Amino acid sequence: MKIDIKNEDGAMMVALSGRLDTISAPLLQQTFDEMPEIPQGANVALDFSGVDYVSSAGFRVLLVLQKKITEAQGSLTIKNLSDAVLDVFEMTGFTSIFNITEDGTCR
Amino acid sequence: MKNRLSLSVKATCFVVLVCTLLTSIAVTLSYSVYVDRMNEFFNSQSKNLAWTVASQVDGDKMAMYVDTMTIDEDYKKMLKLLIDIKNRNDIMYLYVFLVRGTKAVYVMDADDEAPLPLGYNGPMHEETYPYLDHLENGVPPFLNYEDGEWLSSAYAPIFNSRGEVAALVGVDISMDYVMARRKAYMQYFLSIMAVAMVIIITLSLKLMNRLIVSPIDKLAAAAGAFTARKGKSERYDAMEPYTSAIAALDIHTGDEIESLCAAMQTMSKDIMEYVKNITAITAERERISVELNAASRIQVSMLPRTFPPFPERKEFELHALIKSAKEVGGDFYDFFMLDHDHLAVVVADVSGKGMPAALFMVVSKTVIKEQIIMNDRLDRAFEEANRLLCEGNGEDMFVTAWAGVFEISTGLLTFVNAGHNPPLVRQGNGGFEFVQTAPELVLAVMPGVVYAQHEITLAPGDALFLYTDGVTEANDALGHLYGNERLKETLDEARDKQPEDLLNSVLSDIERFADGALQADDITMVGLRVNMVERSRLYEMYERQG
Repeated sequence: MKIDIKNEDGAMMVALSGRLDTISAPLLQQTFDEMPEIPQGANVALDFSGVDYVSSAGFRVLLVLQKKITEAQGSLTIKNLSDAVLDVFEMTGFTSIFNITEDGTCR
Repeated sequence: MKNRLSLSVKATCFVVLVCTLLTSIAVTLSYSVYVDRMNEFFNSQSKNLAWTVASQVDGDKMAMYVDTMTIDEDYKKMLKLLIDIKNRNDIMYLYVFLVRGTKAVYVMDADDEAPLPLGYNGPMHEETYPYLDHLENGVPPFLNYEDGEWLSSAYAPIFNSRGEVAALVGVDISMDYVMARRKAYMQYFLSIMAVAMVIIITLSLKLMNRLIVSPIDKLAAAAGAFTARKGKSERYDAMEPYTSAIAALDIHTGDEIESLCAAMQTMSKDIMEYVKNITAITAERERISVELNAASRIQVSMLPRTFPPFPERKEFELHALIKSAKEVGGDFYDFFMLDHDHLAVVVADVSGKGMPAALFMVVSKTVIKEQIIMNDRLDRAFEEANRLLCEGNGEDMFVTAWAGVFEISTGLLTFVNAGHNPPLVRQGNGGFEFVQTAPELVLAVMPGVVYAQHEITLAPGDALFLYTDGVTEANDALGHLYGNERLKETLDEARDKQPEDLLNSVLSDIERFADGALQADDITMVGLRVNMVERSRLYEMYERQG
């Protein structure tokens, strides 16, 4: 798992690549835990274009992240899901929990 | 480890070698300087004497004496003077001669015992040849060996009144004394050097020993004891006396060796700390691993394990299988009779792994079963279970669950799917098909979620296959996933088998696919098959009852 964080005009862009599973999910969580407090109203976008697999442990971290950002009155967007990963999002019903967009358009 | 050549032996060899080399250089140099000086001294003496004597001799009559072979008073007087000079100056031979070609013709020989006679002919030394054309400068001193004696010879010219060279005076000084002194000098010098060498070697070895060899030997011995012991000992406390051998080292040479000793002491202390820590960590890890294994066993023992589960029910066959991954996971299945006509089946997967997943699995299993029993409708049961699981779920765990209630008398299967993998069903003579329903959210994420329940009917001979993502997401060594297509193909190939064989067929195909790759997730499967014969008999029974 590679985690690449960029800040663009107040929006945080987090590009992920690899497998988001039991091994790598704690890394993603750690990355956010080590960050200074998430600013109020922060817009965080997760770019999933390089992610080919998400396990249940990965979803858990996404839930934790979503909660944290919601508490800071910000928003979390998940972008560019591959078909395989989108299938898992749909199967688990997480499409109703997360704000998922592709190429900027709302699904 | 046995040293092939100890440091002290090497040091000794080195010192002896250096001393021998220095001594031989010193001896050679001083000997050659000594010899040069001695030769120079005697040569200058013979030359000076020759020139002094030559100035005293009258050259005019020299040729006449030889030509006439007669002597006169002057000759006798002069010979007496020469003898006098010879004896006073420790000269070996003193003589006057004419040079004829390369021959010397003697005029006078100042010898007391056996003088050479006037007119005696003798060959000149070869050393003199280069000078014979310019005899006005005489012949510079040269060393020669004659009749068992080393001589330093020099010739000086005697001039006649016309200023021509009339004859030469030869002076021979014995070098035997010098040659003998040389040997003595050599022996004397060598013995002094030998004594000095012995003293230098002894002192420098002692010093080297005290400053380098002995501290390093001490270091090596202490370190050797430490490593030899460390290999054998498994418990750190048994090592204490051996580290203290290093700690007790008392080296104050004030140089790199002292620094080395200090570094070794720090290192051995650090190693002890590490060993202690690692021992503690290993013990802790073993304890945790034992606990996890126990947890895993408890978890598995909570699942219904007796097959067939309801031997008195001939209307259906039910089998379940779970193959745990190395780490405790959160998969579970469950089945129970709600009443005589209703069988409930649950397959679920708790997020994550390890202790948290295991604990949450226990809670989920209990809550889901309880709610299915307590609620008339499955959808209500899931909504209630979701509400309960959301409460106090501080760790953001969640669980995907599929639950179905099978009405045995009618074959009606009512089910709810909370974010779980869609099951496969085989109806009639067709193959297995995924039961796709509108996706719904997993349990324990958001309170107030509304679930929808769905229905399908299973006729005699139909089969239902439930599983967790450990099946479709089983991977091979290259990371490829087993996938839905391969699962469906495998199921279709084994479509006529009873649930137990069906499940085992899938499991062995997964193992074939994984080909030894580490199993990452629990693999859980449940198979249900409606029995043809028993089912129809039941119908008859119901019909008779009317």
